[in-house]
Amino acid sequence: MVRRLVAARLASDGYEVLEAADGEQALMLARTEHPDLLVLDKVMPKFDGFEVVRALREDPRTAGMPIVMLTERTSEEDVLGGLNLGVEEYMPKPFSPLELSARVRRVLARVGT
Amino acid sequence: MTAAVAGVDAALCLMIVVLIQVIVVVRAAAIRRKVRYNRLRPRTEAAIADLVSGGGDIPEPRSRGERAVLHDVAIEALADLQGSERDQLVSLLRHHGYPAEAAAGLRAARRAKRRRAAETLAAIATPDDIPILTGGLGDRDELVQATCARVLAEVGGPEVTDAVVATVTRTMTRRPGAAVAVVLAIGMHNSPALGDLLGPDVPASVRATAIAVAGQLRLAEHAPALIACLGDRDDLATSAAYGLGRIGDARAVPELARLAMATERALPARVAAVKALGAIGDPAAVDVVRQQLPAAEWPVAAAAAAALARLGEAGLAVLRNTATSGRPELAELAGAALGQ
Repeated sequence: MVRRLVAARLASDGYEVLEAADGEQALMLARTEHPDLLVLDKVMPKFDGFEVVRALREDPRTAGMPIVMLTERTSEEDVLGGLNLGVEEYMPKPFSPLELSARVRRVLARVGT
Repeated sequence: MTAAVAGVDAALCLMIVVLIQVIVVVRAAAIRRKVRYNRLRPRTEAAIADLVSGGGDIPEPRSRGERAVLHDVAIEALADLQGSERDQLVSLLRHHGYPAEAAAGLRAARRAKRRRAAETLAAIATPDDIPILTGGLGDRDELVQATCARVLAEVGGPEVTDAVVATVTRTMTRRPGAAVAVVLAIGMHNSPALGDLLGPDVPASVRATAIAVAGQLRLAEHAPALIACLGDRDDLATSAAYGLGRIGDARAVPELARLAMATERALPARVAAVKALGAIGDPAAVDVVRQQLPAAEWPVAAAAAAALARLGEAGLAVLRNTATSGRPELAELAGAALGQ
């Protein structure tokens, strides 16, 4: 459901949105489609959000891809872990899709896309 | 005799056949419902996603099946949403009559149905639902009572405080998880009412939860009640000390100092008191904390070293002196605290 909410919000903002059902598919799409930005859930089937970020950062083709991470947990350890891996924005759930949209805009403006 | 046995056998066979038929029919109906549900669900998810993105409307469901799918998907989405989009979805559910349906569900004979109704109200309730929720406090199921109490703590006013507090006390023994959620809701939405759960006449399990909530939420208004708890049972005093450290109220320093020095008290309570003195950061505590540095119990000594590092220049001076003293075990603790 979260994926649908995020996708609908971003699509209504005018972005072209690609959806992945799990971490493995997200990794594959990131490598083949080279999106301008990734919105990842921390909790996903197959690979979790951190594993996907780690894999992307280790690959030179995707190392600089901006990432916004949604998570149900807001522990300091999780946030710091994500930021240390190079997650641009961290968004705790429950979330506001409008706020997510603003953060996506901000990240894209920062990276100049 | 043989004919009688044959008659019994025939009746038994008939009963088995009828039973199998009933099972098949019931199972087939359940499978049909499931197929219909799974077919409707993606469409409903997409409609809700479009609605909260400002791109559409959801007409009133026509069948019970459609209502059930919209209910489940919307409740799931509400758990992940906040802000105006959440409000929009709640408005839609209210517009389509789900509060009235939940109110009827709360009067159902089946416990599962009443629990589901209470959870629905928990997701979409407004002050308009206070009478229904108040009725739910009298349910014979404690989970329904606690759920209604949690929602009342969130949307109710002072007029329901006594009933909510009484529900916590009533449900804590058999439904501790649900009761803790009510106490947390009281702390977050009606914090003055938490005072009713902090008094010495309140059952210890309820009081322990209220102390923890007051500390975790840093409810400064309850600092005097937490200070009073420092003289109580060791487990309550420990929790109160940690809470006072989080709140940072300097009025707690004398009582925390007394607890830190009380060698007859449990070790966790003394450690918590020393840590709280450090967290509050009042230099008036330096002398007491310094006295704990050579404590025989290592956790107290380690907590004292860490606390001194947070007590300003006077605390740091104590640590520097200790770091160069002739007692290696204390010098090591002080050195580690200075390096933090």
